[in-house]
Amino acid sequence: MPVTETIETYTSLIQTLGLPVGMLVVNRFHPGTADTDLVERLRRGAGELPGIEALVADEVARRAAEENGWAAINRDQLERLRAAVPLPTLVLPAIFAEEFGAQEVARLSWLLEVECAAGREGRGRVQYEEAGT
Amino acid sequence: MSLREVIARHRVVVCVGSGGVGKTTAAAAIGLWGARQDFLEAPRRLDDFLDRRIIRWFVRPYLSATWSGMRVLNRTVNFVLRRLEEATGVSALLSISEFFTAMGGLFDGFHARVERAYEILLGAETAFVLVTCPDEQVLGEAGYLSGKMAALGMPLKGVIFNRTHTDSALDGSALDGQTAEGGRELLGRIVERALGDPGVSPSDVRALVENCLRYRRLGHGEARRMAAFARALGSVVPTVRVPNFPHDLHDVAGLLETHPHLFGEGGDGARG
Repeated sequence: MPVTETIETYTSLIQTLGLPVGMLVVNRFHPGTADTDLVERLRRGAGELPGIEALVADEVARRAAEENGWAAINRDQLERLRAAVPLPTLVLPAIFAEEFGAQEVARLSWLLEVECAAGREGRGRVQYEEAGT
Repeated sequence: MSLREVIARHRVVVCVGSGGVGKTTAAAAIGLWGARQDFLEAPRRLDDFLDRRIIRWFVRPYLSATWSGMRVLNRTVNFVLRRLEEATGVSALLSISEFFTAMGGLFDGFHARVERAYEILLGAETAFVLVTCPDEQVLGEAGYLSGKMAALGMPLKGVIFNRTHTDSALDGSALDGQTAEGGRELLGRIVERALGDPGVSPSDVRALVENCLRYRRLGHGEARRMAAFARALGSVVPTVRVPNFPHDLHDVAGLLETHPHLFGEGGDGARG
């Protein structure tokens, strides 16, 4: 999410070129996972397990911390964008796939349709959940 | 040759594909490492740079008078351009003329300098280090870029895969032999044991497990693409992987976190 570049581009499109920009799409948004305290408890608990189990539990905690870290970064970035770019904003989730193929494109396309319909009907953003396909 | 050796022995050009691969962070991390290796010739190079003729022109106060003189000489040209602007409606011509007049000194011997720049870029003392991330599209662009560089005879000496998710302890573990559902159950049981008492809700355990499996899936695809990319480059080009840190690397402490991944065990600390 190159926020500064997006804000600069928006300003150029509106002010310099006078183009009618209609919508902002924010892609690869990390929604976050379990509560931070729970992740910390898992990390501490991992150290008390034997052998490979400790590594496995530690990895689960590490990945949760990574997801939560990016969720916090993305929330700040989205806040900056919303303050500087006063447009209807559509947020698409980060997709976790081994290869980004037709299935992933179809999923994003479906999310775009649902979000746009929700926006038109004034229902705001729909809740999405990473299905883990 | 490791990336550490490549960077220590060469003038480094950091080149990248599309946005979001972490080019600024990687370049800053390399620069910080260089600074910490006591590369003391840097001030002398800066002095050399400031002593060059063109730079001295910029700092001489009487130079503006010289530029004014040059403008007078170009009065006829400007007159013609102004008429052209009026006739065509193109308003940039005069500005372009003024720009070239004002910057005339910079363009003296321009060709010779371009040739010299190419000489440096193609020279044995220069190393191109490619920064990319393991996304399909970005890696595809990086592959195209490295191909073009090879065609131009530019020496690609190292590749940094940035923002990777391949640092998994689960690969090669008991999880590998499991079905998807079996893997989920096994992870869930281990998470429950680690969390101990008081117990947690099944939905929290599920969220943690699914999140871990999503990152693992991402890491598998990345590992495959990076291996294919490295194979295509050949074994002489060192590649390093920097993980996707869950926080912004916006200060020296943050950049230092990348050094063990960029420069091997202990990062720059290995050199004392």
